[in-house]
Amino acid sequence: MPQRRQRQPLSLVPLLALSLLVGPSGLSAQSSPNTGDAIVVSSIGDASRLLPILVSDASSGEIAGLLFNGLLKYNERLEIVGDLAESWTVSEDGLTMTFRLRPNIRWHDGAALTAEDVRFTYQKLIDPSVRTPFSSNYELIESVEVVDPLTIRVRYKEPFAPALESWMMGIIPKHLLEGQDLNTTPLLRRPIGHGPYRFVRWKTGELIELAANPDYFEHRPFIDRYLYRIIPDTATQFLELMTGGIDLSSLTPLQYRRQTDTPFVRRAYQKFRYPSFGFTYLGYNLQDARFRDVRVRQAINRAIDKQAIVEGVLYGLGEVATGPYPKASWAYDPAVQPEPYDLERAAALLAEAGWADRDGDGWLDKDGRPFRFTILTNQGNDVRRQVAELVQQQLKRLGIDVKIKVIEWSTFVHEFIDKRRFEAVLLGWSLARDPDLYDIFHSSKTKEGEYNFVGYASPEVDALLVQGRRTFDQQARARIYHDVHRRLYQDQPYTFLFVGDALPIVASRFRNVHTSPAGIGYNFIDWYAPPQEQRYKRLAP
Amino acid sequence: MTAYLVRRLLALIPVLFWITVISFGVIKLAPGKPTDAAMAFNPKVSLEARQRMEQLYGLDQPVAMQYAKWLGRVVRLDFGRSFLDDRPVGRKIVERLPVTLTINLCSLLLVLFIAVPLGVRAAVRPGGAFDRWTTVFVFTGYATPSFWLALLCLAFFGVQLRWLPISGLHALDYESFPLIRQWLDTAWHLILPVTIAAFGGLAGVSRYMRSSMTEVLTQDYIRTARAKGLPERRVLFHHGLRNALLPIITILGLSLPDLIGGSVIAETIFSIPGMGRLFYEAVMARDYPVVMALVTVGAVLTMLGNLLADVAYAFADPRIRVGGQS
Amino acid sequence: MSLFKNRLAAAGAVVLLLLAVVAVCAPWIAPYDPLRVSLPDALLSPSGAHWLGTDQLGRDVLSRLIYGTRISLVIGILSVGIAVIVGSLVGALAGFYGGWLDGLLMRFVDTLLSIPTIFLLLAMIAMDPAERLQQLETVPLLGGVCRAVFAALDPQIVVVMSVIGLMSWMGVARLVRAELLTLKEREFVLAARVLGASSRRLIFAHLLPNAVAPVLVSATLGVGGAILTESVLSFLGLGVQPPTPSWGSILNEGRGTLGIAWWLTLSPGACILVTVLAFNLLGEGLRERFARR
Repeated sequence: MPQRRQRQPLSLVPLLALSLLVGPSGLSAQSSPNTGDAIVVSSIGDASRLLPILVSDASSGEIAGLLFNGLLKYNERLEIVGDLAESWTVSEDGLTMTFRLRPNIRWHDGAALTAEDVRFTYQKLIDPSVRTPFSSNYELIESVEVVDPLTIRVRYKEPFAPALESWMMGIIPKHLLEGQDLNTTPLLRRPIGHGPYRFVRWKTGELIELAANPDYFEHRPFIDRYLYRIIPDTATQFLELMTGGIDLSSLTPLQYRRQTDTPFVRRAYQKFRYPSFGFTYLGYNLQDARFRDVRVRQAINRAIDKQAIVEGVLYGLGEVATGPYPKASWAYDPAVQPEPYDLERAAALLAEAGWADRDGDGWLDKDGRPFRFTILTNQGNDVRRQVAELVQQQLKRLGIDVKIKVIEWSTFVHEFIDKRRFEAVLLGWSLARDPDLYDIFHSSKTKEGEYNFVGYASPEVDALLVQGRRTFDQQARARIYHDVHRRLYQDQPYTFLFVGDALPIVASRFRNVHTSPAGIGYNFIDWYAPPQEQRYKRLAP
Repeated sequence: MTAYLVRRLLALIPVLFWITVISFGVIKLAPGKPTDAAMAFNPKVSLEARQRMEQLYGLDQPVAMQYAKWLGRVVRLDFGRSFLDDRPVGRKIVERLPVTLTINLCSLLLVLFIAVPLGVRAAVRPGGAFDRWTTVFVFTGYATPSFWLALLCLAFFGVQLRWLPISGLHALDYESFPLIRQWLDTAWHLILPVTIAAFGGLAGVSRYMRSSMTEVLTQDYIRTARAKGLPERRVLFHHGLRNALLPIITILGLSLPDLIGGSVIAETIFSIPGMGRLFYEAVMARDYPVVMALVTVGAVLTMLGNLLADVAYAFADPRIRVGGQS
Repeated sequence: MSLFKNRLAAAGAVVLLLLAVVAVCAPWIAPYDPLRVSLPDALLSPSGAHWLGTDQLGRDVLSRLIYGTRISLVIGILSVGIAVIVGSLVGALAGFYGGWLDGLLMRFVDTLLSIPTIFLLLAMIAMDPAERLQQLETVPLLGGVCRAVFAALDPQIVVVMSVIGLMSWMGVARLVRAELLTLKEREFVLAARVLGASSRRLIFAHLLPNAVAPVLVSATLGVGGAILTESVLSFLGLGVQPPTPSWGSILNEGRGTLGIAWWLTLSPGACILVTVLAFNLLGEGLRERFARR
């Protein structure tokens, strides 16, 4: 079953970066890289549309990310650096951004990539007839101007720091798409990009094949072919891994700890772990009278042994969270420490709020009604289901009766979240690197279908969120978001549970694979397999 | 009879209409929209953007209007475009149909190949050890949850023994194979899915074969043939089996609509892009055009199959006067 | 011929009897509380302390399977019960009256068979039937019944049962209709009619009892089918809610552990196999017996 997390399409694109300073000699101590071989990657779902502005699912995003680049990208230290742009400036008032493109970037059909393509991309992003999900990121733009073939100037209506991230969107070819209906163009299925890999073929439902682009502006990727196999079942995917049928996949915590220690796996694969950019939480419906009292929320926070959850469900492959930012983010405030697990303190807090077991039935009650609520979570996520079951057990010790309901995703969103028909939810957010959380925690974002579905309203946090968006100076922003972090932990609109580790596994024949705060894909074009270890020497031309 | 047939065929049309209306209504009843996958729970997508997307797909119009538009296209045999990837629905179905048909036909052949002899042999000596063991065997096949068996087989034959591939339809370099090797490769990949599908289907055919054969063997003409001194083999096959096969053929005819149906679980586990997954994924993604197309085609086939069944039944038992009162 | 058939069917009956005993006596037989979570004991292989090992949260698998017997049997039998009652009524009406009523009812059956049931399922989940059903408890007479039912059964199970039952009554209707069409012309019916029996009496006193045989066979086989359907629903995540242990949900939970915890996959699947097999053998035995009459 596919992992159900709130998705930021850009964050799932393997972020390719190679510092311009590192040449071939700096790459590997063992052997110098050579070309050849293929890497077989598995995916739960098939892609649907391969043009970056129309990408609507993770698989499409992964493929589009190898075929198209944006003006900017994140490097391995999660700093914003130029991708298609060799340099850029932001004006003093934050209203104008100017990007200078690298010269000599070519589309896969040989044409040159220019500022016209960038402007064309923007025009299509805001075109109301194009079915792009991303239009709202570009609403604050007043104009996009082509200064010369390699320079583009963007003017904003107000300063908007997260905008830099929005320019990591893949640029689409004007010379091929002008005048076409983007919703049905054949380029959705047979794209022409400019990225490190070129499109070869797509066997619907089975396989997508990409080939290295010899003219890629950084350098030709060493791995010749990228084969994207669609394997919808996670059990089957793991079996394929065990027989060497796939080279790159991600593991569940259980698989990482207990199932990948055989001699075969240790010889044939390399495992990695790094904190993912997201967190799992228990969200409370703040309209519910019981949860409106902050002491109740704090009590539940104290009564949930999060370390036990990390140990039990994640096998230790994660970390207790105290707020919406992972440690790798510059917005994370290291001064915020998690409150220790303390059942007595929790009971005391609840007693203050008026809850006690007056009728001796083992459950806390108030005004004659027992403390009973239902945790909703979505179907298809084993980890969340187990976490819910653990939370149920732990709160039982406190005297709170918790029921669990697992609901199919679409139904969950429309019938329960959007309509606020819930008491508590167990969900996760998978976040963008930019720490702006306006859409999730600002008090104005509580309409049906918006993301502050818990109903959090804090004037102080509101002001901080607005300010954080308008400032470009990273140090100033860091101070603002540290404050947000602290306040969110105190107010507990969510009980932040944990940040899980990402657990990729790669065939050991590939060299140059390293973890970083950005994951392992940041230098994908530098991965290579030494000639004597290559597996796929002869594939269809 | 002809008048009856014509009447029934004409009656199919309003029924088909009602089926599509009710199905469309039921589909709309289920919460969720096709735009959810991309847009729900994505903080970078604003509410306005979501609403605009829904407009682009025509989802903000009243249900009746959406249905009318769909109907208008369907009578021109245009099933529209899938919401998932904007491709013509017809093409998506045509892509997946051959795989499902192949698997179903192969599994049917396998079932016949095994079940018919089993049923005949069991009928020849009813009550014997052979009869007993085959009964247990075929019923075990029916009782086994197929996804459980599939996973166990994959773990054993695929991982432990490495005899069979784990998933997919073709090897990675399939395109470079000569034709013979392509066929062999596909066959090798289909061994497990077909076998597991067949295992579950043995019970039905073999029991039917057995009871049909035992019934035939009690007939007078069999006794006559034996009295005439014909060799037992000739009696069994030439006289017995030929007649016993008739009801089987009827059954086969009835299962025609099932040929285009795929098991979503088997297809998920074996990573086969078939009709079962097409339907299930369309349902989960609320891809109405695809779902409605599959429902319509399925309904047409089912109704034709039922018509065949009723006609066959009428032929078999003349005491039933269909369509009239006694 | 009859002797061996009875032996297989008898074996089936014995197995089912055993299962019924296990289901009823679950609280006394199960060695542990099936819901007791104990993380340090997670994924233990079968041993003296845990005959069938433990699952990812340290719960004893044997105990969960024992309690799962209740769920599976209840779902199986009650859903078939619903299917039989609804199906018999519809089929009897269609078969007895024939003519336009027959045509109408059978077209209705055809329509239902063509509707994608997955959507019905999703719609039902959205309407939050478990909550609605629990609200029924306040209704005067019906409420008492509901309260009793929900004391024994989780409302979600009632939902799953109803869904499976409503998905399968159509086959029974066809069967009953066919039987009635044949029986209608038999002498004893003509005789009863001549003697002045009313239609209702004909249906309930004469025709249906004779149609019981194939319905009973179909019902026995149907229970097996219902148990399999429940396991498929749980496999797809649409069945009972956690932490309720049904065989299907235990199977589903075990999917991620195939390589290292084979007992999580093998045992619930084996339970389903044995139970459905027993029902099928029993059903076949019944069919043979009735066919001889």
